[in-house]
Amino acid sequence: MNVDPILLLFASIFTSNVVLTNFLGMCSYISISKDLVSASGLGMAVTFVMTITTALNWFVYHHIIVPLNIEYLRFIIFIIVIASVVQILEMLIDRVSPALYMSLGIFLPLITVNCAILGVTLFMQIRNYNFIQSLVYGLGGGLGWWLAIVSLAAIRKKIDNNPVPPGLKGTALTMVTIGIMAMAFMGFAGMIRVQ
Amino acid sequence: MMNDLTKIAKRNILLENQILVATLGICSTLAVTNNLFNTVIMSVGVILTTGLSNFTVSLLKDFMSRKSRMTLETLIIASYVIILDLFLKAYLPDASKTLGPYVGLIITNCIIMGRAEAFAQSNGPLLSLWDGLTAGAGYMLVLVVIALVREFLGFGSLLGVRIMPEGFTPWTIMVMAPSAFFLLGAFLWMFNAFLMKAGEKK
Amino acid sequence: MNKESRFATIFYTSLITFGFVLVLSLINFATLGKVKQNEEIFAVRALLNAFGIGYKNDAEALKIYEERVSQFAIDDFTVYTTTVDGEERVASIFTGDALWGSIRFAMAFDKEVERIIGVDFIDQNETPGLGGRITEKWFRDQFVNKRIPEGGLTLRVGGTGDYDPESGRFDAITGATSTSKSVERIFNRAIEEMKRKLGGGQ
Repeated sequence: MNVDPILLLFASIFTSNVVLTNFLGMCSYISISKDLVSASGLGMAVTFVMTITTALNWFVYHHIIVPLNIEYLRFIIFIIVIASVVQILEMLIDRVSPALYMSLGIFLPLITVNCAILGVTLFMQIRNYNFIQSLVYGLGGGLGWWLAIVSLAAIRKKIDNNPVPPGLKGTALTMVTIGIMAMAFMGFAGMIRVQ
Repeated sequence: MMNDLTKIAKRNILLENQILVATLGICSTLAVTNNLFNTVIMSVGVILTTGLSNFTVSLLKDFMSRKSRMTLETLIIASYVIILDLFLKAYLPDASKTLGPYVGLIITNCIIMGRAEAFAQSNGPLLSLWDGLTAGAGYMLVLVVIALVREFLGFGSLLGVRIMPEGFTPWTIMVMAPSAFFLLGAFLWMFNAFLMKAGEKK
Repeated sequence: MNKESRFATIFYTSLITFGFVLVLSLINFATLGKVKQNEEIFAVRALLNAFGIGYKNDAEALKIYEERVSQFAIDDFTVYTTTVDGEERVASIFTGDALWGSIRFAMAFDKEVERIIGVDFIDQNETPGLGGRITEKWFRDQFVNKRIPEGGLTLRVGGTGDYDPESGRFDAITGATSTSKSVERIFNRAIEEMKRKLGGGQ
């Protein structure tokens, strides 16, 4: 794989946003986007964890799973890596900075079950990225998720003050909003050129 | 007993359909709903995984301590997904090629974990199996309807067989991601409106 | 034994983990041969499709391949040859990087490498329904019998398929321009490689 890392960074944030084009991490995307502050906190935590786990899983995949020829167990191993990273981060942040723990740490347990994290790891593996590309893809994927959830939370706040047909209120309207956002993000496609 | 089974089925497929009521678990499958065949394979995979992992969790619940429970549940779910992945690779290689990483994402499908936690922990193995299977069926129902619309309008075909006449202009938007959100939104709206009407009658 | 005790937690967790990993290993072992065979069939089918040789099923594809296709190597570059309607045709399997990952495909030419006979994809990781549509027949058919102009094939955006064998052009997939551009680049590189290898080998 020889995709330019800078291109990959922009592509994973805008044109191929993990939520808006690959539907990854939908559960927490919908349930946490009611409030702007928590949305931003979760987005930050996801970016952080995604960058670390994607890089770490790259290492685990190429230096442990492939040499031992246990590729069929990779799903379990990836999950274990993600769960342990989240646990360790939670402990570390709690010890080092209680203030950061209040804003970031409370979201960490939610992240183990966020399929965006596993999703990005699986895409990284199947697309055969090298280490730098994996790092950039993890970072871009996380930033894209962050951007998407903050935008959605801000839009939902505005919508709350408007009259809406009763059946459409809530998740149904959120879905339509996400659909329009996804179309807007498709517009970025013209911005990025491959070679 | 029979009564219980119907009650669970009705609850899981209609009244408390996991997608329509809780918007759970759509991440793994929504991405492939532009093709009916892929959707059916993925949904059947989810049904089997939910059912079997529910069954196994219920069977082993006496051996799981509070601390290790979540880890073991994830392990069980991941194992069934790996079996599914191996099976697809060996016997349905074409489907396995197109679905790619999405099969692995079934592991993080919140419905499976949700049913294991909410139902299998406090019920017998067979009842749990049934609960898992029907929860998966409710999931399949919604996604298949979405896939029907997307493949029909996006490609003019169903299950790969061309249905619309030659002159039909495919709706490119139906192939792309936003349409899945719009259709699910519309589906939720109809479902909520239906529930409200039923509520008024009572 | 109390299931909440530390010893029981560790004991049962290890036991269950061991049990599942054992089962998975057995299943993996049992399907290994079949998966490998599938990989071969994919390559064989792609080569036959590129050559424009028809077949009904996988078994027949393998049989035709055995009978009609032979291969030789130039350094570590494998060339497959066959004769269709009295004309000699050459092909090879190429790999290139597209937008999201590597693409592996078979491409067949006439003996002088002046025309492409056909192409077929073996592996690709583009987005299903967008870039992934390069595997669809309408896209691949654009390359059937295509004359290779000086400087290689060129991509046109906005068309619905260019089936004129003399045009030297092919149409991009709507909504997947980046992937189409990568295809233009890697196809031209494959053509160059084939010309170079065959030219140098004579």
